[in-house]
Amino acid sequence: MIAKKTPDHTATPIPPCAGIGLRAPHYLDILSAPPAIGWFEAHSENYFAEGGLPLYYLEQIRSRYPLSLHGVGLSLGSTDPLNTEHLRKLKSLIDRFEPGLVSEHLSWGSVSGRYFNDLLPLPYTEEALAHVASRIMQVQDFLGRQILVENVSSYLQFKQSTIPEWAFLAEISTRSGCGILLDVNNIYVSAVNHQFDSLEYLRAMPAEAVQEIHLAGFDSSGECLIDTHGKAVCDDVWALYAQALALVGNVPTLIEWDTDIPALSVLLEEAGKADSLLQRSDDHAHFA
Amino acid sequence: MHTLRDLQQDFLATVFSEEQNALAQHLVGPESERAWRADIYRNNTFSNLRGTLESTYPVIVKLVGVEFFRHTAQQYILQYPSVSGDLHLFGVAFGAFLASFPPVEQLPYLPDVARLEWACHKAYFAADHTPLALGRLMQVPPARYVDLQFKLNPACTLFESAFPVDRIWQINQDHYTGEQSVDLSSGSAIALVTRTMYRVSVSTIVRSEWCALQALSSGLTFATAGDVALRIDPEFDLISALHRWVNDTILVDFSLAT
Repeated sequence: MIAKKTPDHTATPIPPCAGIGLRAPHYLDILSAPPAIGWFEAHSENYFAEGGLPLYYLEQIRSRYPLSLHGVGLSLGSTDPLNTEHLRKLKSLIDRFEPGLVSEHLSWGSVSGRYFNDLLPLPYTEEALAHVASRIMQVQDFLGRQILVENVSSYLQFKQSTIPEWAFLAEISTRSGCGILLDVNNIYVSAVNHQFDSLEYLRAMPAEAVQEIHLAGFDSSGECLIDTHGKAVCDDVWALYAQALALVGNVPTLIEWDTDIPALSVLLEEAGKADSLLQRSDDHAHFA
Repeated sequence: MHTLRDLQQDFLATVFSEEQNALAQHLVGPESERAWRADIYRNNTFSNLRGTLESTYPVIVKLVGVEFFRHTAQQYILQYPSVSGDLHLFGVAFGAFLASFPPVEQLPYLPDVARLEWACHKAYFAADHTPLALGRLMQVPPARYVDLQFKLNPACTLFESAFPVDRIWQINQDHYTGEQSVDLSSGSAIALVTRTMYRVSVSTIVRSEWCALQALSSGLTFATAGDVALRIDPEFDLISALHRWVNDTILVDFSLAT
């Protein structure tokens, strides 16, 4: 019998502090004066190429910081077969960069071979629950590791849905063994759009499964709130974040800013706010 | 009873062919709201794919203007579905699409400008390659030179067009400050797209050199590539060309034909 091979080195865990979403306009700033930030998160698909400058920068940044990989294109909830080419590229990226966390979305983005390249909402039905849980298990088997799954913002609701989103997400985690990436901004956006209680959502989360939180800014279309990742985190979302920390404990928290990307210093300031809330929540825990 | 797959196909029909009812029948809420809810997703999808085309084809955007580009992109998105969750692969057929898009008939060079921009896009993301091992090449006995076969850098594309699109591409680069006019009757473009370290470049080369590299890239031997070049230009200096190709990391590996 052949002994199991021990990996030469292991992934750096993501610390329970604030991190920043890695965007191309900041590569040079980060490398020329490495900021005091706990970790970075990169969109997996941005580094699917065989070579070139983005991968070079990611190597440089990975050598200085813990890294998490966040996918936007796997289309977990699609009824098409899983895209094995996509999974293969994701696996080789994971092998190369050894991220502390790997995450995907509780959504779908393709059907009949055609991609929307968007994060589309699922109907929350028993059929979808069984389908998505089994897809997550296939992905975890293929990658040989646990993934986190993130709740998305939505602008419509399906008549077919029979399960509240929070119960659906919690059950997905239980059935598939995946972790939860709780996007507090997405909860806020969807709660306003669909008139549900965001605290009820937070309270339904299995605390031990929540391993990361996302924070971002949104816009309004006039009719509803749109998750654009193009603004600072709003006060209501900071307040909801503090409540989330009280319920699930301190977990790595990412500041996402993907459109109208400002100077790195603006993101670092936002990260500083998250860190001070994490600190406060830590103090509470100690004095409780 | 609708299944998840029915719902996803109805979503697809609504976003890409505006069959409003396909999705509307699945939605909660008053009828009056269903159209704008679907519109949000349609706008997100189209603006995301359009933005991808805009960043891959900046010269085309400059040549036709932002408004017209958006209209063109809209048609492309409808006719050429995105088939991957990786947006870097979207836009591969934009040149072919422009060649059959009636509104740009009057700009016959446009499809080739798009093909050149795609070659640059591919070069930017191409696999990295170490330079050719010169020491190993020196060990090849001179009698075997004729049997050498070379591998081109994965970032290289040998590009040609009946129009001077290399020139059009150059003058539309952001930091270009030279002569602004292009004489469209100045003839064809014969160019090499390559990447040195991480910088993509488009260089105009002579036909003899282009044909020799083309021969090498299709697996022909160094001797055959030399013949090809000499037939076009009897003065072609194959040895100094080889030095330059190796130096500029255009040729990155070799083997001996058996």
